Formats: sequence, C-alpha cells, structure tokens
Amino acid sequence: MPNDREHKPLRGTETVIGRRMMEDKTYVEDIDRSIYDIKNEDRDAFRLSKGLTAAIVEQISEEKNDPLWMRQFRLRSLERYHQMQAPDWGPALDGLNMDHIVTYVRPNTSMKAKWSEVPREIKDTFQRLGIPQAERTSLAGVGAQYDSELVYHNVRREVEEQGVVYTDMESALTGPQADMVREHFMKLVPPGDHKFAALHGAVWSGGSFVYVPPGVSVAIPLQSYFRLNAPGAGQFEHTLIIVDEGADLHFIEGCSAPKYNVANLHAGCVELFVGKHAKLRYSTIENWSKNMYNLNTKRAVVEEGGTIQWVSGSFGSHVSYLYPMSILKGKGARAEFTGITFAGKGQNLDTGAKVVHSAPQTSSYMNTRSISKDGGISTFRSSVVVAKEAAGSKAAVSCQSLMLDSISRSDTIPAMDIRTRDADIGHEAKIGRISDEAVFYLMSRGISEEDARAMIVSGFADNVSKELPLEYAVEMNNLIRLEMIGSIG
Amino acid sequence: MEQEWKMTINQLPSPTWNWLCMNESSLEHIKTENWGMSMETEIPWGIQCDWLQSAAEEQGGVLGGMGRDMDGLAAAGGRILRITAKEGHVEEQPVLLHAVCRDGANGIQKVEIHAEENSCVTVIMDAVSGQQDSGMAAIQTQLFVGKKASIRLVQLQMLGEGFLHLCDVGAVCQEGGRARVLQLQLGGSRVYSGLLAQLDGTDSCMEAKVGYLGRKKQRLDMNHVAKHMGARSQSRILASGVLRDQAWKLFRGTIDFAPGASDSEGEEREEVLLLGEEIVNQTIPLILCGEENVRGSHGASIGRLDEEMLFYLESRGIGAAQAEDMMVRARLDALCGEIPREESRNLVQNYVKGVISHGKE
Repeated sequence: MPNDREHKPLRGTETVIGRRMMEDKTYVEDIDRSIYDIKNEDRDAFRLSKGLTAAIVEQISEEKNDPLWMRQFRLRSLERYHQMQAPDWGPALDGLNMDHIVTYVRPNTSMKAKWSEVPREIKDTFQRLGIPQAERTSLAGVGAQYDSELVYHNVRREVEEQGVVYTDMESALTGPQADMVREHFMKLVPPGDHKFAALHGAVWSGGSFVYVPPGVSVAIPLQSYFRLNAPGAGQFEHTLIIVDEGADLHFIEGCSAPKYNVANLHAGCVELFVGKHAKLRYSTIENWSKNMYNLNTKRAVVEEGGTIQWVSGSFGSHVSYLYPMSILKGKGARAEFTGITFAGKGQNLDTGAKVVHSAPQTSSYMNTRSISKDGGISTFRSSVVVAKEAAGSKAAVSCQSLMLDSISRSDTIPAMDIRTRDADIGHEAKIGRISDEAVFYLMSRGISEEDARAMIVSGFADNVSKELPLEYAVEMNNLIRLEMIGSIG
Repeated sequence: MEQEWKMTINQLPSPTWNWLCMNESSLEHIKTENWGMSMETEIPWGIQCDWLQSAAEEQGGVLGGMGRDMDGLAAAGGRILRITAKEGHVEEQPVLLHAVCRDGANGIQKVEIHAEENSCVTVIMDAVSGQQDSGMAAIQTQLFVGKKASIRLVQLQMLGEGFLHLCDVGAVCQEGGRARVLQLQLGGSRVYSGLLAQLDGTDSCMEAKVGYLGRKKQRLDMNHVAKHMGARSQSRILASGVLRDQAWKLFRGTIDFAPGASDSEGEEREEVLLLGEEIVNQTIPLILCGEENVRGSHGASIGRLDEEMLFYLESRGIGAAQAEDMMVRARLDALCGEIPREESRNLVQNYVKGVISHGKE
C-alpha cells in the first residue's frame, strides 16, 4: 500500500480521523514467517505409521527401550484416551484426526553434545532460529528437539558442578535420576486429567528433565527448543523440572514449525515441582505454524513460600488450548502469570491460566493481554479457585484485549470459585480498540499510521516483553511487528 | 395435569471447563400441581392490563436469561398477564404486582410488559409468603421496549425460607429503548434467576442491578446477559451482595457484542461481601466480542470486611458483629434506595432488618 498519508497535514476532529482510518484499512492475506517456515526434506531415520493403536504405542516403547513400568503406563494411558471425550467447551477440533497423525518420527541422528556433530541441515535450522548463538551469549544450557527426539543437549560445566541436572527425558528415565522420574512423572498431570493428557501419556517422546539441588541458584537460564519438521506429525515432549528447597531457576521454552497443508499436533506436557522457598520462572515463546493444533498441558505445584512465575507469549498455531496451572500447596506460596496472545488469520487461540489456592496466605496474580486481527479468534480463559483451607489468600486477575478489526473475535471467560471468607479477590477486564487519540498523537509527530499502530500494540504487549530476557523480548517484539505489517492500509 | 419437569437453565452463553460446574444448572422434580400463587394488581389509569387466556395470544419470541426450558414451564402456568403502556404515554405511577405464595403450593406466572413507542412505565413486582413457608414460585417476565420507550422493572423477592424461586426476565429493546431492572433476592432457599436483554435497536440501553442476601444454606444461581446488537447500545450490570453462614452463590454475567454493535459500551461489576465461614462464592463474568469498535469492561471485588473500617468502627465502640450488620444493611440500602415507592422500600428494609435480627437468635 502506498504510504502517502504519512506526513499529510491532519484536519478535522479526532472522530472523523478515526472513521477515516477504519474505512481505509486493508488486510494482508498472510504473514511472512520465512525464518520459521523453512522446511527440511523429510529424511527421518524412522517413523511409525499414522494412527493410534496399542501396537503403535508398544512400538514406541520398543523404540525407546522403555522400562517395564513405562510400557504399562503408556498402554493404560491409551485406554484412558479411548474412554475420554474431547473437550466440548473450546475451539473446534474437527480438523484433527488422530488416524492421520504420525505419533513418532525419529530424526536421522542421535543426541549430540556439540553443535558441530549435529547433521548440517538440522544444525542450520537451529542456527537460523538463533539457538546456538543464544546458548553462547545468554544460556546456561540448551536442549534442542527435532521432531520426536532431542538432537542436541548441553549444559555449562559450572552449572553441572553446582549439582544441576539438565538432561533429556529418556536419559533421565533410565539413568541415575530414574527413581526421581518415576516418582514425579505424570503425577501432577495424570493421564485421566483430560483426553490429550491421556494421549501424551501414551505416546510421549523427548523433552527435558531438570533437577536443581537445594539452595542452588542458576544465574542464567536453561532453554529447550522444540522444532517439528515432519508434516502430519505430532510432537509430545515431556518436561519435568524439580527445583528443590531454596533453589532458583529460569527455564525458557521455545517452539516453532514450518507450515504444511496437513494438520500437525503438539500435545506436550510440562510438570514443575517448586520446593519450599524455591523460585522457578518458566518462559515460553510459542510460535508454532498455523496448521498446528497446540493442545499443551502445563502445571506447577508450589510448596511453602515458593514462587512460580509463568511468562507466556502465544503467537502461532491454528488452534491452541493452553492454560498453565499453578497449585499453591504450601503456606505463603505465590504464582504469577504474565501472558500475551496474538491471534491472526485462521487462528483460534484459547489461552489463559488456572490457579488453585489450597493453603493459607497464598497469593496469585494474572496479567494478560490479547490481540486479535484478520479474523483471528482470541479467548482468555481462566479460573481462580480458593479452597476453604486457603484463609488469608489474595488473588488478582487483570486481562485486556485489543481488537484490530471487526472480522475478528475476542472473548474473555474468567471464573472464580471462592470458598473462604478470609480472601481478597480482585478482577478486572477491558476490551476495546486502539485509541484513535493515541494514533492521532503519534501521527501528528510524524510517525506513519502503520508504525503508530505497531508502536501502540508493542506498548500493549510490553508487560510480557519486559519480563523476558532481552534476546527473547526482541524476538517477541519482532513477531509483533511481523504480525502488524500490512494490517493497516 | 400433574407433571414433573426436568430443566436445564442459566446456560453460560460461551461454556468453560466442565469441572468448574458453572456452565449451566439443572433442576429436577419441578411439579406443576397444587397451584397456590395469586397475583394481585394495582394498575394506574393510563396503563392497560389484560389477562390472556392462552399461550396462543402471547407475543412470544423473547428469550429470557434462564433459557428455553423456562418457556415450557411458564406456558404450563396458564393465563398471561399483559401490561401495556400505549404509544406516547408516560406513566408517573408505578404498576404494582403483588405475588402472594401459599405454603406448600406451587405457583407459575408469566407477565408481559409492553412499552409502545415513546411511552414510559414502571412496574414494581414483589413475591411474598410467610417466613417459614415453602413451595415454588416461578415468574417469567418479558419486556417489550418500543422505540424511545422505557420500562423500569423492580422485583422484590421476600419468600419464605423453604421456597424455590425461579425468576426469568427477557427484554428486547428497539431503537432508543431503555430497560432498567432492579432485583432484590432476599428470601427463598433456592433461587434461580436469569435476565437476558437483547439490545436490538440503535442507542438502546439496559441497566440491571441485583442485590442479594445469602444466608443459612441458601443457594443463589444467576445468569445475566446483555446482548448488544444495535449500534451505540449500552449496558450496565451490577451485582452486589452478602454471603453469610453456608450460603452458596453463582453469578454469571455476560456482555456480548455482536458484529455491527459499533460504538457500544458495556460494563459489568460485582461486589461480594463474604461473611460466612462456609460460604461458596462463584463468579464468572464474560465479555464476548465480535465487534472492534466497542468498549467493554468488567470488574469484581470479592472479600471480607475491610480491616481498617472494622478497626475504625471498633475504636468507636462498635463490635465486629454489629459492624457486620451495618455493612450488610448499607450494601442493601444502597439498592433499596432506588426503589421508586416508599411503601415498597419500607417493606424491604423491614424484611432485611428482620432477617438480620433473626440470624442472631
């Protein structure tokens, strides 16, 4: 679009200008996601046939050399999966047919500890995503998963020397941490939790295990990055993090995939155990391709005086169901959730958070922003449950939504269930459009309308980006800019 | 004919997690035999009052907040009371509808209120019984608000401690039409209330204010919806109440902006004072938005008495129990003050006073 109005003198009232902006708006059909959209040729070493049967699940166990308990666990989970109904309250899942999903794709390499040993094509993919560079400059350890398996895992020696364990789930399952894994694996998110938790229990593969010993503070973050390359495949990584008493960790999770014409599925599971007076920050920038069904489950349990902080940016996926849950089990435990969701054309992103206060003097704070444009649907869904035992608890929820056009939707569905009189609960939500006055102000200072709107949206998202390490905040702001380009005529 | 009804009511316009048990409510074993509710009326001269003999004569088509199952039950109630303010008529005196419910009996009444173009009418409807009485009182009220017309509906529920009360309101507002509803849900053991206002016309508006006093094992289940269809439509929903003892309350409030409702505004607010050791307070305030150029907001403030205020009152010799009573009364008085008739205000204030002092025995 010609940008000839950038420096035009502005006349008339703000209302008139606002109306003109609305009338002139045009929309770009799709967004350039070239960095994320690069596809590698399918050169996997092994893939299972499509569908979900007991034979396929047994084959996964065979491939992964599961211990007996895990083989049995997978089969029990599959039974639960077949018994359970798909959710009847969220975005439609009609386009997801498990008979067409390949649940396990092993890349043509084993896990390496050096990038130089990772096959060139895969390494190039992660390089384009900036992972090795981020590792060099700002991370204490990195795990990189490609389709169903990790292809790279490394942790800095000084972190290892602190006693921190950061490894892939498969190694943890059979290595020195085997008992710890068995004690915690899918205890927080049992397979009976919902249909896709059961699916995860049956076919999980890959993911990371982290253990931070008592009192250890990991000064710089660990990161796992999940890349799904195979069309029509599912990714089911499991992340299990145990932060022991008084310890402190920041864990970053990133994910992306190229776009295909067939549905892909992500049904990962994250279980976080935050010990007494420990602190865990879990940051996610989710940028799955827009053919992805992202049905992920994340949950944390927090002991006395502990803190869980979720930072979540949801930009990709065709359909998302994503609501990190915090269970405040110990006295004085705290949860914070900061999130942004950006739903564009063809996206139906149902995101939010859940908190359960089950001990006295616990506190939680949810602060979210959502943006919808080009026919995208964004739903903020939350629940705050304060049990009878949680006397003296406090919870606050704040959600704001921005609609960039009238072909999109933005819904807010927050629930509160309070069962003690000794609680303070605050909730506020706002929905609206970009203020014409703010755009007018910026344009009167020589900023184009497109840039003005992008600036306002970036400012709107600032509560999340300021919570992220600088490199990731930059990536998130780039994503917003990418999404905003061309949305104004 | 004796019939037992099973109903699904108060459905959330957009459902959420089933485990929260907030998506809808179910009622079983609703009986329609043993009629025992009389509707006494006081109609000002300028207002037309008709008793329609069958459902065939009703205007129909207005969905209430409780949903379609309530229509079936209301139809079983027989005669329909229709109140009409003719075109251009502005009535200063309120219409008084007095539902008297008998102990052990069931009562169903459907009421239509029509305000034709440029007319204005106020209806004060109360539902009463003996304090210890039980039974069922179901009232469905439909508001037809014509162009630039106004209907103000005041519903005062002071039923006995064993009553099941179903209170369904549906409203349709044409261009410039205004519907205002004030509800005080003070009695009953199980109270289900729904309100759906469809703002079809440009510049139409609705205001709903609900006050409640939940006590003992009372169960209050509400579903209020403002559906914005017309441009520049406005809605405001305010729920304010107190929960004592083992009272259980679920308030669903929805502001729904349909595409085309540009320049519309919706506001929803809930304030709950928690006083009981074993109360359950559930709140789910929705904003559904399919239109860019709107402003919607909701807020909730749920908690106990402000400690600073308690400290202040105690420093002036007012004990915690007395302070609680003061706050309960203050909260309800704020809404009570909006009842546009002194006798009705006194009735409510005496009822609240009686309930509070009774609770201390």
